[in-house]
Amino acid sequence: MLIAVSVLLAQDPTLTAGVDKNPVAVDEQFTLEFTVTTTGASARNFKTPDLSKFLVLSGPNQSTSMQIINGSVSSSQSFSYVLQAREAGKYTIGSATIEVSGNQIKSNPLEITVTKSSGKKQAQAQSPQGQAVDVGDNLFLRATVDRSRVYQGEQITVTYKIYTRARIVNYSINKLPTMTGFWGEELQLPQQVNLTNEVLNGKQYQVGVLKKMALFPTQSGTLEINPMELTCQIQIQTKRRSNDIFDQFFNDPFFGAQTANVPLKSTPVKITVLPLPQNPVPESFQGAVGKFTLSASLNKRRAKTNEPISLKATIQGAGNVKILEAPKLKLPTDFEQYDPKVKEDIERTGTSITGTKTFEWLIVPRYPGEKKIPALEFSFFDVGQRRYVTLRTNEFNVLVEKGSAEAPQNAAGLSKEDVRLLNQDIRFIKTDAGSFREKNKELFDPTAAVMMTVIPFVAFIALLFHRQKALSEMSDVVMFRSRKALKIAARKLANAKMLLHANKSEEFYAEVSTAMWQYVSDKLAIDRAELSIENVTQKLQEKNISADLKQKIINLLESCEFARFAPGSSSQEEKNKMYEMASSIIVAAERELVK
Amino acid sequence: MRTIWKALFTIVAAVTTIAAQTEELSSVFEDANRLYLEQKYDAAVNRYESIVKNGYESGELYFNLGNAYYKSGKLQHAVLNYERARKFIPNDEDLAFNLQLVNIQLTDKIEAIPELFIYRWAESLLTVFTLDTMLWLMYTFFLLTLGSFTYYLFAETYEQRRYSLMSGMTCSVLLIFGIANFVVQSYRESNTEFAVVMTDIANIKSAPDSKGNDLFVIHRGLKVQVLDNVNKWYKIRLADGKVGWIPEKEIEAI
Repeated sequence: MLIAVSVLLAQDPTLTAGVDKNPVAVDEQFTLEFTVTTTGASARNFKTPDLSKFLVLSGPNQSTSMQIINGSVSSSQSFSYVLQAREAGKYTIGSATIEVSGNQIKSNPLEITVTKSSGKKQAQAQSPQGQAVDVGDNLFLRATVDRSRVYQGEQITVTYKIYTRARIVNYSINKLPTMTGFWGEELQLPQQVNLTNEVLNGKQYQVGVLKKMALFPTQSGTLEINPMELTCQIQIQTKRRSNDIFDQFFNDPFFGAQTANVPLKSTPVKITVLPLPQNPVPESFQGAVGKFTLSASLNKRRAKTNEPISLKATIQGAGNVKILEAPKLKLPTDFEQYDPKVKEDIERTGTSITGTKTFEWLIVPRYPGEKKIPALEFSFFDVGQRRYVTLRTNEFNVLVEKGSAEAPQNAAGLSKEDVRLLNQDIRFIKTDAGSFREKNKELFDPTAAVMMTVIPFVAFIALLFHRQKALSEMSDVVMFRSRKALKIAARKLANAKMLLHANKSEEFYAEVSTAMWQYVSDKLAIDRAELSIENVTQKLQEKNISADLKQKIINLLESCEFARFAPGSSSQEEKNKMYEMASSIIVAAERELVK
Repeated sequence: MRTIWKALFTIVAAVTTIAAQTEELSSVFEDANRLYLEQKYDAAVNRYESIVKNGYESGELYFNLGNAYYKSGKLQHAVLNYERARKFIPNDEDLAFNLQLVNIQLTDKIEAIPELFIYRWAESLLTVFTLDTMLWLMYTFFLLTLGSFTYYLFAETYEQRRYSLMSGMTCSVLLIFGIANFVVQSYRESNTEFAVVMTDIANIKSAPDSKGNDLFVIHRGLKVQVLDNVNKWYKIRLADGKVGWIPEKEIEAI
């Protein structure tokens, strides 16, 4: 139980705050330290309390230490500040916070008493250091400007001077002036501050120039240069209670001076910035204000295609050199142009910023010929003359000759595949002439179109009609057969006549027989399978034809049958008679049967 | 009937003249090929061009002309003639290769706006046949369709009827596709005109006026689409979609 508590206690992180002295005197330095003790876990997110009542001279300074006591590791981390009280009174330093393994812990608040002056003296310098001294107008800091109404972009020189009638031992700058709306460039001053004598308001001062800046307003309107703050350590005369000769002797600075720290602050300076005249603003004006000269040079006047040429333009002068922009280079389109290389050389000594700015363009002619590089134009606002000045260089003529192969220029944008392809030759020409066509010949040849579409189509339609008619006729099969009967019979009889002349009696009888039978079959609409003399006789009875014709038909059919089975018995004359008979019967039947 | 005779006569007359002309043109063509082989490229160009001047053209002729121009260093003319050849022999492998080889040597590398794969497919389907071939294919399919249906009408057996009907259907479907392809292709051809930049360097203006603002610069051999023609100025569009005006004399239509 006891062990558990002690472990718990050991693990509990703490944050303590402490100062090295309390009370402190005004302007006396003291150390404020926050210490966090943890076991193992790391602390983070340290937040300082409000220290605005004091001057923070340094900090937070971090230090870490680690301890192992009886096997338990504890580490402590401290954050320390060196502070200086500004005014007498009672102050409370609030709690600092820190996060240890997710938990936020707070430090104890501290109460600090600041006394007007502490009686304590520092050993090494027997002086009432930190003593508040009323310096009156014996020591002050002044910011002066060479002019308070300027044009936008015009240079203003701000000089920070210290005026003193006391002896300055040391000084340190606490806060540099901030300048919003300006572009500033610090002018170089000698390392050692040279003091000069100056009489101001009837008093003689020693004056030292601490800082000198060239400012270029980047916007118009009323702008303010914020004050500069510094702490000055001066030697002071302290009134001694005794007129001891030794005391007076030791008052000599040589033997350890009595010094006091004096905070100094310059007054803010207001600057009225006038906008640049609006008309007429030259086209090539890009914000340059001051006084400049312009020159240009070309490294060669003869070049080969794809061979780079360098065009150099130099702007020299006083003004806002640093913000000068490159003049516009309007090259003919057959030049390839790259962004200029800019080099600047700024001189910071003296009272104004001067310098040169060089722009170097690399231009690559792509095509041969007599080429012209147009003049460069640069405009600036001349503050002295209060007007815009436009400078112009000469035109350059370049003779571009045809260079070697063009391929390299293109190699850049090509893929590996393309490069591989580039090394190949084109495929060989076609040896076969192919078919030549007349140029500008209308593709759609109307004659061909008619031949290929209209005529076949018309033929198709005609065929369709023809077939339609045939079909409708075919629908009446009897009529069709009857109409066809004569044709077939006539054909067969004609054939029979040939056979008769050829003296082929067997074939002749067969032909005449089939002709007759088929004719009768077609005409009387008797199925072939049912053909017989009896059937034909019966059908003929139904027809309205002469008895003579009926008899003749039957006789002929019978004699045909007879002759077919005994062909040899008949003479040529008989055959001839039979043929005549068949023909006359068909003609007669045709006349009587078609009704 | 008289029109048919007239048509027939025209065809016969045309065929005989073409045969005679072809004989003559072929000899010039072979002559030019010989010059090419002897590496007299300028002379070969002249010979090939003489055929074109006589009013005759063919894919092979333009291809060879392109080659001869390439060999004599006139890349823009090579591009122009290859592109012209493409109208006759769109799927020729040699042509595609040579055109690619020339294009990578041009100054302008213009990224075409990427097309959806469906468009690319449609494109390749559309340009399988030239318009000329397509027209004759359509005639063939038309005649085949008619023939099939005619056969169907007079077919006697069931089998014959079935097959003739099927072939007739197939041919008519192919015919419909052919017509659609032909219509689309000929519409495109008559509405999209391309040209090649012939001058070494061309300033593209914002308006058809030499005092107009320069928009961008293109170089020889670049293929551009012609959109409009006003007062000897062409409105063109690049493959990447940029549009501007160029003097008529600086480009040549494909």
